[in-house]
Amino acid sequence: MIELLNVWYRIGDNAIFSGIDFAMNPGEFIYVVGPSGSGKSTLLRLVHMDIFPVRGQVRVADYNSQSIEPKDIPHLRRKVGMVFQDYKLLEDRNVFENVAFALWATGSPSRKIKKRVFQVLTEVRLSHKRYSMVQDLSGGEQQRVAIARSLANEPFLLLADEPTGNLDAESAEEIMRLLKRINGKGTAVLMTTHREELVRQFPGRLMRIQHERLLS
Amino acid sequence: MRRAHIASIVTVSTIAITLILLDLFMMLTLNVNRIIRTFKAQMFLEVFIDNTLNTEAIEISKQELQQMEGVDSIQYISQEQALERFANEFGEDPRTLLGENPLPPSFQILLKPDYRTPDHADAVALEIGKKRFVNEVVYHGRFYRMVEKYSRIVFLVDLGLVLLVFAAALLLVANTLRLTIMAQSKSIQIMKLIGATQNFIRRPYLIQGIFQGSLGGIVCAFVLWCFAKLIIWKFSLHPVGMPFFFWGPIVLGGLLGFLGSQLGLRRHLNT
Repeated sequence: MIELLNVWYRIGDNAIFSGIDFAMNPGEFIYVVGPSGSGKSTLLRLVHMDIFPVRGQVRVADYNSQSIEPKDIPHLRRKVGMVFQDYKLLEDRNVFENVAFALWATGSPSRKIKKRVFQVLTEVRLSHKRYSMVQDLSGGEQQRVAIARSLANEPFLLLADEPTGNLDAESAEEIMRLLKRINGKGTAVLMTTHREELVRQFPGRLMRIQHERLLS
Repeated sequence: MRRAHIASIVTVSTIAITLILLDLFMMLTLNVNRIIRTFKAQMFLEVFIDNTLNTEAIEISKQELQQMEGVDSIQYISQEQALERFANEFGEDPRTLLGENPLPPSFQILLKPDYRTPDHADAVALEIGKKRFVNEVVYHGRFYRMVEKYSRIVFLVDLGLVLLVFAAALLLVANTLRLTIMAQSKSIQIMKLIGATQNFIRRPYLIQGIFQGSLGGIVCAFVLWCFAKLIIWKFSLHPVGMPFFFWGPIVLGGLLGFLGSQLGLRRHLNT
């Protein structure tokens, strides 16, 4: 489902990856750990095709970083959801509108939007707060809205960039349980974290970025 | 967001001012051209002939001139008619001073429309001057050359100014769009993230550009309509091309807004 073949990436003169190889199968749950600045977020951005390797190739489903056309990138992103440490929600809109935004912006018909938003809000257990403004929610709840939004287009893969980074331990566990539940329904999850205790508590395949390499 | 609103108002106003200037320049050019056409329609040669010619010789000379290339119509002005015109024009009779009529008979030759240019008129005058019965050929060649030269300068200056204000308006629309894009950068970032297509992200900005441009055009059309009414009421003049100058700015404003938005999107929205 995902393959990185001899991927090299650098920012200016700084080498981030020097020929990494990586493969992920459908339905897997993988943690990527490593010190700050080691390239965890860069790895997710490569998979999201937000950036491209200077050498090597990234394959995600039928898309290849070497041959993908700019017009195809939005179609890839509809099938690869992404959540961030800072949630990236629209603060002037309520929970329902934030999730509906993902469907509206990808051209879903309006009659489908309401039904699907209700489904994903139920899945993240926030349907009762659908009309709350996002700034009135706790950090954990905001992250659940962000996850609901990333699930709206039924992705086969969820990229989670430090999704528990801004949360207290209790909220972090809640988010991890949610991600595990989503994974249990067949969506693969590739998650970066610096909290290794979560890895022990919620087991999954562990990858470590060290000295520009990705190690199992 | 407030900055974006202010910028939108500035853009609509600038587009309106641009279009007003553009239209005034074009209206000036059209009306100058109309005046030039009127001058050209009056472009004739005065051919002074020997005053000893009898009626038959005058008729033969007239026919000879009529057969020349570029000649449209000929009017014979006898010495008496010339004297009458002179008296009407100056209120004096030269005979009281000189004791005789000093004005020679002449032909007034109107050229065909295609020949009403200084170059063609020069050539025809030269040919006529060679005729044995002709004493002198007079026409206001220098004046017509001057009119042509200045009409060309007016046109070039107009064109230069039009291009300048058009380019300024384009950059302004593009720059306003930058403020709007900056105000909505988070929404745009999220749209990119969740897989919205480029066209989907760009569409509202293009519509905004067309809307702002058309609104500027409507303001311009209204100002010009008031201006035209004022000219008609105050000076009883009827400037040419008014219908075009009413609908033209709205269409042109929309086009200006569209092109400015395209430019702004290319520069500031890296989708």
